[in-house]
Amino acid sequence: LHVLVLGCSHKTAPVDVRERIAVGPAELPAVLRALHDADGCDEVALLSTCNRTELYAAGPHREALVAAAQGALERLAAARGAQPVAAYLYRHEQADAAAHLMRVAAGLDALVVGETQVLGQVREAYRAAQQAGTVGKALHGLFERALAAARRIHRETEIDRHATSVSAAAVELARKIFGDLGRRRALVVGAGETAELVALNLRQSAIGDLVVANRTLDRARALAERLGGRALPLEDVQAALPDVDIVISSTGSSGHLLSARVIGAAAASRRGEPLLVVDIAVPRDVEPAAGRLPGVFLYNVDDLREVVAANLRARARQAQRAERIVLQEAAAFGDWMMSLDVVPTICALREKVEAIRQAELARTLARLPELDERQRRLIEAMSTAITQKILNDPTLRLKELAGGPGAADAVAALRELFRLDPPVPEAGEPLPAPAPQAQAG
Amino acid sequence: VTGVTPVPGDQVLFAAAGLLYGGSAVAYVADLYGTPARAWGWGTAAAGALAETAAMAWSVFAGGRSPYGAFFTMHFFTSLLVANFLIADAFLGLRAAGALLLPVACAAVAFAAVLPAAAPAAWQGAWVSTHVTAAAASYAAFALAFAASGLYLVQERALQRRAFEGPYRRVPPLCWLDRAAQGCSACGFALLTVALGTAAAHHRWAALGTAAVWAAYGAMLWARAQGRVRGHAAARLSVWTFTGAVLNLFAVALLWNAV
Repeated sequence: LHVLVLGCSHKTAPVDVRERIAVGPAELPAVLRALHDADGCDEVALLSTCNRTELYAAGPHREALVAAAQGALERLAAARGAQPVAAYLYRHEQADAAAHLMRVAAGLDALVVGETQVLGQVREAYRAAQQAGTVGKALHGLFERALAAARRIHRETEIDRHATSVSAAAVELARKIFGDLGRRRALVVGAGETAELVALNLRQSAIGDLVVANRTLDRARALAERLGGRALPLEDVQAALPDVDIVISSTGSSGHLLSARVIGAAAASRRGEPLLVVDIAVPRDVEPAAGRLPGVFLYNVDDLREVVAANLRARARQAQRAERIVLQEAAAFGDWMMSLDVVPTICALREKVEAIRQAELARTLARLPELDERQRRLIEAMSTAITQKILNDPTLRLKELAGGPGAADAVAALRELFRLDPPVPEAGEPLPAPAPQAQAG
Repeated sequence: VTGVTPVPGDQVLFAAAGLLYGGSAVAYVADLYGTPARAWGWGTAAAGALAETAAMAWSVFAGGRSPYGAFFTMHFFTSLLVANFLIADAFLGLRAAGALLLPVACAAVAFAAVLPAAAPAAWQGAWVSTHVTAAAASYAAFALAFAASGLYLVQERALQRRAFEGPYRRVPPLCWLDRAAQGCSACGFALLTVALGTAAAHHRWAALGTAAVWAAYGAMLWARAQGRVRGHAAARLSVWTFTGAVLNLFAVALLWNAV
């Protein structure tokens, strides 16, 4: 059984190529069924996001599978009147395909390393393929293991734990100073887009109280209502300062809106409790000298960008740890794939031998009615032990050969010697009855 | 003076404990500055605490040494300090404190090596047991408060210097550290009150230094409760007070047999 992934991503193809083969949720079931009907593809799943379109397929013959997958994506592009996409496609097979899907699901291949949104998209692609009935044993194993590996990476590394946007960095700083924000009060000065993003992040971090101040009170009220806070006219900001722990300022003012003296007075009234002031405005709203006051932590937009840069460096270091997990899990998937080729034969052999054992046991016991219960159990145990010992070596040897060059021959020989495959009936001939078990003895 | 019989093996265990604490201190400092080494630090600190506890038990129960000497008090303080830290690391996420506490533990074990193992014959009985136990436990609590305060200053410095790597990531939030330092100081103060009472009942001279430490922590807690000292000032005060407390502990230990 072979598994492969064929597709393109933001790393290999520009958006005008990616959009040629992108598939939306509405058309996905029909596309999956069409791909599934192609010769050589027994199983199909399609992951299509804004950053990638990838076809995951499984089938018994490698060459046929590759040709079917390539043809399917080209037909998808051709159906939209687009040029061939072959030059932008990458292909990974077997354990490499698993490693690729694990990287994708864990966000290691994303635009922002460690992002978690793609994990949900992979889960959704898997579910869509299941609902379309195009997933079998191989892709089921592939997606389940990839999702488990991604969850492990998020659990064991800190790849998703640091802010990667300026607005989230402001909240990260607040958490570094105050810890839990549930009993803290924040004042957002300005009601523009940046201020709104920071306010939204604060609200999502369960800030205790949120006050929005703006020159136009109606805009402040609108934002405050959306975020469950209170509105304040800009003139009242100075009076409100002593009561807040966090000040986010992002107005279009040309001069300093908050002087060091005003900030100093507010900080002094806090008796040593820190005051966080985040000035995202350019030109700046807060006099820089305020940052030198005791108990005041003042950050501007460049500082927030430095937080984001440091976090991205930390994520890159965590990605190296995640890569080790990917390699472990992909190797485990490779072993499992190899076992798939021999497991049906092992099961068939064991079922046949067990049927013979039970039939012979029944026949022998029927001839020995004088045996008591203990003696019957001993004979049964002996028969089980004999069959287990006979089967032990071929079972182990087949597992050792799994995935290697001699596996197919060994499986074929075993099936032939033990007649594990039922004879193919001639046209018009009735299906044969099961072979009498007693013949084996 | 009682209990001077040497016990084979215990010195090796005490030395091993000191070395393990030293190794753990290195691991925790490396961890604080970004090299993941917490598992090593925790493991070596736990091994050190076990070695130290085993050495004390072996020395007292097998060797018949008196547990009331300065030597044992110092080791009792150290093992309690490390045990408290291991719990704080495992359950409160206070791994960064290892970078400050394990060097203290290592220094205390080294200092204990120069102390006389014997105890004055007069230092026996329930009062002394209570005093030694309460004093060692209170100093262990003060050490945790010291670590929280020290980390407050480290994190504050990182935030002010825009150093968004290393300690910035490992050290807990400022306000959490402030509250932790206050809580540990309050626990230590309550225990030291017991230690002071039992010491005063037995030997007033020995209680003088302890009374000074008690008064310093009491004043600090009162100022905190009044809202007069918090944040940076409280952290600095806590670090200096603990430094004084440790000097007092070392002085009392050195003068133990003379009192």
